[in-house]
Amino acid sequence: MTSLQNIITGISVGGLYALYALGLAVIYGVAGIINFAQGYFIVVAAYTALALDGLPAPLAVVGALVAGVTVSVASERAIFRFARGYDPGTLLVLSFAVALALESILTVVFGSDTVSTSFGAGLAAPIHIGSLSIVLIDVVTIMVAAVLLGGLALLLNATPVGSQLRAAAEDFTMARLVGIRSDRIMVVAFAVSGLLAGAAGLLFVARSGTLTPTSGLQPLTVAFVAVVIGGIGSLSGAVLGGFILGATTVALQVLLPDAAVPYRDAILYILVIVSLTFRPQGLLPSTNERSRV
Amino acid sequence: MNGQPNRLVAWSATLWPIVVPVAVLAGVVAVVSTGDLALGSVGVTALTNLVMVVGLYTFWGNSGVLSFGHIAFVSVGAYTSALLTIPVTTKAFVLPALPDVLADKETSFLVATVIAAVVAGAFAGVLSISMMRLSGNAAGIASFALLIVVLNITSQWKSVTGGLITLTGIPTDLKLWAAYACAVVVIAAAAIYDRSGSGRRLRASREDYVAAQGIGVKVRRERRIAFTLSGAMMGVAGSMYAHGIGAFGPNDFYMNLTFLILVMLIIGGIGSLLGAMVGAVVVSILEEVLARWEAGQSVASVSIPIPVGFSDLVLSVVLVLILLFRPDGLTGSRELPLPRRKRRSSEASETEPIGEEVR
Repeated sequence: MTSLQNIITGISVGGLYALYALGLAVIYGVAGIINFAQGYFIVVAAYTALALDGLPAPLAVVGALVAGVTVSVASERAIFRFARGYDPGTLLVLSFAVALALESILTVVFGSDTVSTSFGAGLAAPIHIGSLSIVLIDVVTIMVAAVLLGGLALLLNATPVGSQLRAAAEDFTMARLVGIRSDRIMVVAFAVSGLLAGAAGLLFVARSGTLTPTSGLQPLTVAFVAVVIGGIGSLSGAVLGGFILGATTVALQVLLPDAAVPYRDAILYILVIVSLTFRPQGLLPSTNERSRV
Repeated sequence: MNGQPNRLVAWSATLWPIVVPVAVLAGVVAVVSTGDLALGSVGVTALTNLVMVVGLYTFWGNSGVLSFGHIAFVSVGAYTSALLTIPVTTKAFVLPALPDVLADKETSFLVATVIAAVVAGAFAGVLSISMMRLSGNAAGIASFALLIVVLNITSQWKSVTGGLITLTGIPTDLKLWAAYACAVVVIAAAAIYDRSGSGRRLRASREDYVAAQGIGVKVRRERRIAFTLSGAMMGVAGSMYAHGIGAFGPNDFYMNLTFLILVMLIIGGIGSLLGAMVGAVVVSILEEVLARWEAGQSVASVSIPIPVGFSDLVLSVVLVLILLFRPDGLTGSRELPLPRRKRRSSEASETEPIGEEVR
């Protein structure tokens, strides 16, 4: 039954990675920013959950989600708004600067030491179904990912705001010309992305139990790679990339000989470089990303 | 034709933008050298960072292709240089499992630096074959992946790198003026590359990829050349890092250093060698002042108490402001212009204006 267990772990890690990636993809789609700060939105949410640890769990969860949305929208209002229409390289570096600012604010407020928390420790318990033993957090992660992915699909495909978002992602100038209010749609995109970051932050801290201001790096790296493998600018590509990356990580962990396990990440990222070399446009490239001459 | 004076003007136009900053830098170093020992080591670190910024500029500035992975080559250079210069007797203690080939070798800083440059350059050259097929965002991510791969290997390959533990025992024999000499060599190499055919073709492809290809520029080939050269420069910086501080670990060559070098290059101006130099010097000074205030010391008898971690915040705010209001950096991504009265209209083209949309 271990193989089934591994598959469940793979889906759970993949689901988490898909949340990371989707947060990045939503902002990229509308604003054209590859947002380095996304990883730090996740950490801000995680620190909020940690600061509210004494309160009842639902309150801490809501607090973290609110924090994720707030920091994301605030960064748009305070900084990214003024850089609309800049070229992608500048936007990328600008988000790099925002990430650095968030990290240093967290360092000033919470210190640079690793803090550990009991938040979500109850979820580490395994549950047994027949001979199968599954860690609760894996089930929770899969459920949260399913709900959020489903909800986002619904939002995008069945609501007026959703069609406006998709229109803005397709062609921002055109969307403005047909009367979509760019400011509002930009805030919606950052809010959705912040909500995803909030959920991801909660799952992150519940899984690891520890946090430092630099914790944002791992989710960020994962999100980047997933988005690029999947095909930048494509939301379904980001989800696919997240699942592929999660499944590959778990598969390498299980299948690699013991001597090679410490080099798991090196092997994983070499695979990433190889995959990019042969399919630089990603697996499910978005139609408006093709270069035109 | 009066070829002789023309050539003279052309040469001064070529040399002027490099000789002047290098001379100014010498002045700064001279001032630093009169300070205390602590200031001297700050100067060495600043010059090491300057070499990294110039190395990053040589690829990123000329090609316009993002790279977050260049610090990986610094890591390779630092480990190469350290393994070649840690005294044989010390090596038996700090790296007992080191293969014999390396265990009984011991060379000087100069030899080790040259070898570090060659190793890092060769590493970059091999990687460039696959990585230079990419551009734009995919290139940025691939270079980021490279950084992670090198960190993973250096922190796990215990018999050679000592793993996550800080590697010690490297002679701290890099003094201020030697560091300056290294920096001048690298700056000169960068300037020569800038003026070479390959450098010009690469900048043409930066300005307009399609047009450059249309006139026959083999963009991938030029990018491979620049990537390899900048890898070698990063290798030199790695060796300087190792010998300036004398101890380092794998995590020294990761995000913090990447952030810092990037900030320096952008604040100075990505599109020009002058920008790389100005950015490195300005940010180094700013960083040192903030670090002293953080530690509760005074600078020029001014002391502002600031909390730990605050200096990074200041740096990132400066970076945001520069990007929003002066995206071409302090220098506007231009080289130093000739003094006005020397310039004649016929030679004006030699100062080579750099495009506006340089990032």
